[in-house]
Amino acid sequence: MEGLGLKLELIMQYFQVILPELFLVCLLVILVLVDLVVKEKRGVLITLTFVGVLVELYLVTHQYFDTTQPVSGFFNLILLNSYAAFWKMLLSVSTLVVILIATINKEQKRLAEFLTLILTILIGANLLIMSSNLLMIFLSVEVISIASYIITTFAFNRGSAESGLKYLLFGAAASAVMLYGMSLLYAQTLTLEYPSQQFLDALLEAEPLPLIVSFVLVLAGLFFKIAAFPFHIWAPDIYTSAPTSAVAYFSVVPKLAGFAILTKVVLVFNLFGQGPVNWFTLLSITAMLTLVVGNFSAIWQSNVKRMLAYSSIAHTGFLLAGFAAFSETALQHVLFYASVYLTMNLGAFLLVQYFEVKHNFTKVEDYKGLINTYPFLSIIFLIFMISLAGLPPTGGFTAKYLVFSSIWDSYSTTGNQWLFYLLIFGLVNTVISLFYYLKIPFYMIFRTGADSVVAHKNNLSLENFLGGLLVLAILLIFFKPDWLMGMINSVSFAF
Amino acid sequence: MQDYLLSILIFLPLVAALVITFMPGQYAEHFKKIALGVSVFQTLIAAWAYFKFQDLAGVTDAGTFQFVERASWIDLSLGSLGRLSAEYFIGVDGLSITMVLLSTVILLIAVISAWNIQDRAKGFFSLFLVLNASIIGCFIALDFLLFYLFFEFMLLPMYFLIGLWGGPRREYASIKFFLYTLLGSIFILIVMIALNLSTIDPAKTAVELHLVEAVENVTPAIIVEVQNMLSKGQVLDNQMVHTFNLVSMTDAKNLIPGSILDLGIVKIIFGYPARFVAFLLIFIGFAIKIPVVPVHTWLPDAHVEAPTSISVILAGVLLKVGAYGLLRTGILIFPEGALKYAWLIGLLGVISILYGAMNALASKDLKRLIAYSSVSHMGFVLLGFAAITAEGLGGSIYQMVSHGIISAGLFLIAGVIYDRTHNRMIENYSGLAHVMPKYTVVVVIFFFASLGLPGFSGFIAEIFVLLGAFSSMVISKWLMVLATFGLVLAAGYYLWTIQRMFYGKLHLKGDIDKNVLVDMNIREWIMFIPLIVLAVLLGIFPHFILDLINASVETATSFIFDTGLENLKIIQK
Repeated sequence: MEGLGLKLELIMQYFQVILPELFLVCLLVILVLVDLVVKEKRGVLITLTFVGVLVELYLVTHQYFDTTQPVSGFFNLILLNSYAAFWKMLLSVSTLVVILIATINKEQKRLAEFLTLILTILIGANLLIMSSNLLMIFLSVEVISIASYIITTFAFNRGSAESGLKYLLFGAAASAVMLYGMSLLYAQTLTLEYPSQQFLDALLEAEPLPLIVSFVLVLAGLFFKIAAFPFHIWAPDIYTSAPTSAVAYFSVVPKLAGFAILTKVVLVFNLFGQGPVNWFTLLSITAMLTLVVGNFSAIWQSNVKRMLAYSSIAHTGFLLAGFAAFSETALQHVLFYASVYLTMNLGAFLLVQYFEVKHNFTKVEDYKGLINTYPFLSIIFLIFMISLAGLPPTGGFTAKYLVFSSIWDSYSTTGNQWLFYLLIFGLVNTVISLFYYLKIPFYMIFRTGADSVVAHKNNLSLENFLGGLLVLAILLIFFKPDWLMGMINSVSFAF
Repeated sequence: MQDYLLSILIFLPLVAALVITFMPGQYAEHFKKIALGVSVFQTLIAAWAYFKFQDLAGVTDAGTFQFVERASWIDLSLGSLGRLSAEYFIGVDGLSITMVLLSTVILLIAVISAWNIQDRAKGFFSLFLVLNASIIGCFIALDFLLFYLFFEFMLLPMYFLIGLWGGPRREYASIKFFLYTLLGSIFILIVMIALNLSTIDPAKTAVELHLVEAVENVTPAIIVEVQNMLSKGQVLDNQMVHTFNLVSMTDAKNLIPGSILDLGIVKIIFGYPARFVAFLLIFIGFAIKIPVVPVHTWLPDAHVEAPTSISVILAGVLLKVGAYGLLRTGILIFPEGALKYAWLIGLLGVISILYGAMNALASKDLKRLIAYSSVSHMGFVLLGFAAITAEGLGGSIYQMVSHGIISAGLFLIAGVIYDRTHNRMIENYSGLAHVMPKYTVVVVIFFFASLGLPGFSGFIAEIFVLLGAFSSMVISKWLMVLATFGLVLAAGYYLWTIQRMFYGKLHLKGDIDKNVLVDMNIREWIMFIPLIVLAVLLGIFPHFILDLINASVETATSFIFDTGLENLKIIQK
């Protein structure tokens, strides 16, 4: 009996580690119940979810400031450090914004299910970031994926159903590949706990070829989640037909969570430089290809959401490029980039959602002459696009600047030629990306047309407020990057 | 007020732009008055600065810059990389005060030339004011990041001003302009990152090293001590304060040993020392903006499509931003690159002079002709830079001012005729002197000023440049000889244009109604007279400019030459 008591006490301690996630689970149950009981539920559901995630953000922030030492829980299945907590904060903020974006569409069917699925993805993403066990990675990825498959179909039309199925097929294949890689790793190391000493020792003695194969398989699964080349092909189709608020969510939360765990996994796989393969060279090459494929495909798109899908693939390339510089500074800059990325990307999706819901805009041409009816929204759209392209005076510039400077710095210390090519590729791609980022503002401002579009005269609306807030954040990050960077500086990368 | 003189120059137009943006549409007729008021006020401030300005060097000595304002802007901790610091650091020396003066005058003239803009006046004048602020910002920024911010930020208002208020092919022209210039600024960005990673701010590093309590207490001795410690490798990575300060960057002692742009331990990129590559990148970046043949092709398109007032700014000021940037961030920071590639700069300068002139000769569109003459005249600026003599550099700066004034006048001339007939084809006109005598006089004055007639500013500038190129120790005398052919060609295309358009019997083609050809009105005289006065004044009394720039030019020349030679020896060792 005494043993059980001890165990219970231990489990209670562990609960501290996953308190925000537990809270989310409770919120999820409440949402389902409310959906069953309350009649006029739209407002209630949204308020409940929003406030719930706000509380979760508070809890995560608490974790961020309290976690000075890494804390592991549940028999080393998960590990909480300030690095993970920072990513969790980013995800919670994104979720809050996405909930607001979703409310623009007043016709969203099955809102309760929609919100529960959003929360499920958030739970999965949080757990994924904290995973320190291969199995845990797999489970969290599946939690995210299954919820994503369902939410893709929530536009309730033919295209949406089709892409949901596509996503399921692609996703299942990717998961299977990843799981196979993990099983191979287990066979070679006899442990699933990847940051452990046993795992590392076994890796050092293992045969290079099977090791490389199994790593590549695991990375394939993660590349699929973050939509990196060559596992990005699902993204455009899914982004085009899924509901826009869900797409906004896909482009940020699962991507950043996948990226966070990718950084952790690759740092281990690289065996701190003693492994047979320099994985950072592989990452550099992947980053270059992702950048090129994302940008060049985006140029030819006329569908706005499809264009943003490719743009988000290109941004994956930039995140990977920053990570490929491989230093503590580089990781900090990646965190900075991720924070800016979520702000500007969600801003762009907010406006896309607004115009899709209000005026059925799907194509770039639909936006023509919009500056006359929506001057404010057009200007902030322009600012989001400039930021995505990475021009001053926006946070996008600062983020890119920091990423490039960490690549330069790594190049000058290590002399790895690939890093130099990566730098050149990244810079050239910045110019290329301008072709399509300026397309929408170009139609908005340069073309006259669509007099049929009548503005909804309401200056104090949600989209004006939220858009203004996000623009303000982007400008602030440029003019005072010290504040965001100060927070990131206190992140400890120990695990 | 004197303490914030330059800030007022930047922020006044920005505030005015905001005011215009939020003013209701029914006050549309007041927008231009606000823009005019801002420009007049700026010109007065610049004039005041002109009289207050002392003939001090500046260039590489932060102490002798004038009207300096300094405030901390960005201060990031980069962990093991140390700190990154960017400042709101503005000030002028002889090299930039002339540019500020020129900008305020040209911007004022441009507002007057935009007086008749009715279409979307709110957008036009707020973009115009943003452009105004960023141009002036470029000339007074002494922090590379700040300079880059203004440099990039010029693109957007320009893009919209050409693209929304331009001619028939405006969309093509504006996108071409945008992409060319952006490509150039990407090259500059690469070098900026490398410079930032390689340079420390000795004063702030002293604080990090706990040698002093605060930056204000830093003495020259402490700076020397920090630089010594740096060269001996006694400063740890995380104690370094990486800077964007353009003045600190000119001092090779602030370079971090072993960094990418270090002099001592040479890093090789593509088979060349990194510093040479960096210089070439920055040269390409600004060459697009100047523009230099063969990357000049955006300029004729942009000019032909842009509305008159924007052409005036483009030729009068924007091209100078490129030349000034090359001098401030390229030649002064990489003097050894300037020496090593002086032949290339000079050669491209001469090619621009000749090729631009020949294109002008072949142009059928009056505005295109003037645009190509700009390419040709900016070639002289490059040739003067390449000479690395006091005459050459002084001549370059003189040429920038002179070309700013004259080309503004030339584009106004094209605007006058286009406003009346909406046709700029030279072949459609003949014998205009009979119906527009006053206009003809103005055209003749500006054409002669531009082709370098003694008595006009262009003559002084070009003579100085040619003298400098001839006495230069680094470039071949042949370049100077070839450049003089540019003068002959200029006389050719201008005189031929006068002959075709103004001489002979009145004869109009292309459905031009004779009755629209009325002579100049008051507003046009107001634009032309100050420009003519300036062109003549500077042609007769060159000391108005030379007194301002003498000390800076002397210092800069000897710095580029001596330090350049020294650095070349270190690199080639």
